[in-house]
Amino acid sequence: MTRRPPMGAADRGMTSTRQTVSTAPSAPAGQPAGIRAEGIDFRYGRVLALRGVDLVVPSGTITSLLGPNGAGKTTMLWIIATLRRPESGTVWIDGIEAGKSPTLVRRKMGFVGHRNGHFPNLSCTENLALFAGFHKVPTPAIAVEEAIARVGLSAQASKRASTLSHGSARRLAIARALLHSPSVLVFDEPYSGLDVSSASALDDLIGALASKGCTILMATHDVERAREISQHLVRLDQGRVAWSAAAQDVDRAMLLAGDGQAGSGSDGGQALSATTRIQRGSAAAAFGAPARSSSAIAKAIASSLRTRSPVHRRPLYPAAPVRLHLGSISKNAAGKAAAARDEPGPLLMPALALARKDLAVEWRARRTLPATVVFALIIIMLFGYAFPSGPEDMRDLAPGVMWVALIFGAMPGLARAVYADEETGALDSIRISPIDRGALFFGPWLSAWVMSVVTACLLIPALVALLQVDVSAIPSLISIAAFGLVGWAAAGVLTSAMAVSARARELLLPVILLPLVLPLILAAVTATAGVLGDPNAHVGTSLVLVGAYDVVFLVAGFLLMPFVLEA
Amino acid sequence: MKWRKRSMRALGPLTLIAVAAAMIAAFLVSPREIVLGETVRILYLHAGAAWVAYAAYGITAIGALLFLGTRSRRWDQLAVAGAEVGLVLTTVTLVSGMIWARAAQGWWWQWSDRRLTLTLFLWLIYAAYMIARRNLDGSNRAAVSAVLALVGIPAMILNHFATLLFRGYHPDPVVSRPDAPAADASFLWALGLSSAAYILVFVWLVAERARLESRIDELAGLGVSDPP
Repeated sequence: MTRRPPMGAADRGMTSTRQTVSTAPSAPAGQPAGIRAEGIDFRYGRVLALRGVDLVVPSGTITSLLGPNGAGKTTMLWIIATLRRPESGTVWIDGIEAGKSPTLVRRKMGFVGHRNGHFPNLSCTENLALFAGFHKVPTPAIAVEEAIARVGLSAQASKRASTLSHGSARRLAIARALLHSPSVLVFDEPYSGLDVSSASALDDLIGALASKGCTILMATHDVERAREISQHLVRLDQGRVAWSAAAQDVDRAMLLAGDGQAGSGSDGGQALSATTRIQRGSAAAAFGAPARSSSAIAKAIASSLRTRSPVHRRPLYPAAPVRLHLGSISKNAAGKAAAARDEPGPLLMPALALARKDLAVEWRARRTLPATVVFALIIIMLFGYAFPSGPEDMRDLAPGVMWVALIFGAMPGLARAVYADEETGALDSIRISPIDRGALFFGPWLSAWVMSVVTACLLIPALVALLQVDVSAIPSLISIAAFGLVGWAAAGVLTSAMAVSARARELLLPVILLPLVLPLILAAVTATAGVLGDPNAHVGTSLVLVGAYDVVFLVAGFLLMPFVLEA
Repeated sequence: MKWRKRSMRALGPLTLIAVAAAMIAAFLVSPREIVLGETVRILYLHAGAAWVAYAAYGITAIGALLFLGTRSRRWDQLAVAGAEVGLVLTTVTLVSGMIWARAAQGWWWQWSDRRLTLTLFLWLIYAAYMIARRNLDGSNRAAVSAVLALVGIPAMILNHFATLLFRGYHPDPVVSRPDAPAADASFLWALGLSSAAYILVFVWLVAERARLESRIDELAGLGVSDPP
């Protein structure tokens, strides 16, 4: 097998400034560094996907999560990576409780999901620069360049992510996860799509990271490889821990043959050594956490397992050729963490960065805006034919037609405001970043508002001409549109995020959004009619209502978006 | 909780008796009204349903808020029970109101009628809530529907003010006035009885629906069925 040089080889020039992660408070007394999860229950709708899962990954070790499809591996990784909130149970990352201090945990966490999770219309460099900003990486340009070099993508750094091969895209995802020098890495099927040399380079990288004290948990179907590079194996089946064991205690042939047997629950012991069999039901037992059904025998065996599974048991990961500058990551277990409080991540800069990203993508792809404008014009045309009338009547219709055209025209684009990032997995990458959850609302809101206002600027002159409205009203109409679209974009982004995980999201979005924007339409149409000279329209009152709507939905979006995206 | 089980058991028969009494009062005992004629009897069906439908929305919103605060599924069960019963009661309010308006005022619907449009708005929010629940089966169903129930409140308040921009046609309040109710006692007691029956129907249905939802969850947790 021809081996690619270790991915970390290009990392030598890095400065010590990249040790910021290690300064974060770590394990308080009683909670060891590494990953620890206790009693995790999780439900999809009504169906329980995880039932009382315990898992401990000691600091600086590699644990592989095995199990058939649907066993709950990915869900478990999502919960550990703070992407899902367990129904019950607790996760500690380096001693920090994830439910209480998610931002602190996200600073320490690198995550590669089964989707690559980058923005397809941005280049590799732009992708990583965005996340370097979220993580406040010092000297981001250098960090990005090094991360790209580390995974062997330097030659393709300026290529758009959408043009990368599957394997290269996977490597970009790995680069993103390593960008901020995390102390805990969670990989979901990291080897999928990698060629042989890339996979073995990833082996080297993972080993080097572990030897530097990084805690690694990965889900994989590659049981051979898992057994090769991991210290511990945990098998999930039907949402429960079927067994857990030190990797060297698992019989290879039987593991391969009995990936089904072991989890069947009836005679899975055939696949395992006698020692391992006793660990059934709780991963915690193997690694020193309090076993739920602990007995003296189980404790004794757990303790013997600990001594028999040294952290670096094979000379597979020489520390020398790979200098990752992880510093004292997860070694500073003592300290302030007991008093560690979650501090909110930054809000404004990430929000602006997300909005800028959306607008840059739109500028390059030009998908949404032309479609929105043309769609809105079609609506105006439909009104023109559906209500055949004279110029006077058309003027009366103009305020209503304008708002219906703006709102319906923008709806398909709005439906993609959050979904576009969800379908590539990029939304998960943003959610795992240590930024204020409000940025996940304000970023898409700002870009949706800017796009809606641009649509209004293009549409209103056409509307003025088609509906025989006085040309001098154009500036006032655009101003009122911009004012009302603040609330529209806010309600739209919030509901678009709500619909993102729905089965029929294209049906659900209008059903939940349009009732919520009714008051805005009522008030905005009245204000617009007043501007166009309707003496009965109360312009002042209407504008106050529009303003109130804007404020209410900006606040509601800011407060409620975290619940929508983190459930 | 023995007392709870007993009171739940008593609630069903009690509700049925109250509904029977209210129907007798509305259709047999209560007199004709001079101006409205026999159509006054629709109002016994209409007013109670409207009041309780708003209360149901309150229950849903409280359930939603408590769910987001505690993540306890029983609050989500309460919220969905409130929404489902509320949707039915809002439908009763709308349909009975339209029938009454047609008989008394000659039209089915007036867009400038504040309360009519607000009730339709409430119905739409309930409908959206139920549709959202049907379309979401992931881990965030309860949270997303809770958020929808909560954003419905400011939207409803704003809608109330927005409809003020139009002149209303809905009759002025008869019972809840600053001075005294503007109706004869013979109408008021029948109205009171029907409202009491509605409250009992509401409490009974919400309690049973919440219990049903929790049973479905339990079944799903046991993996013994493919719950609805």
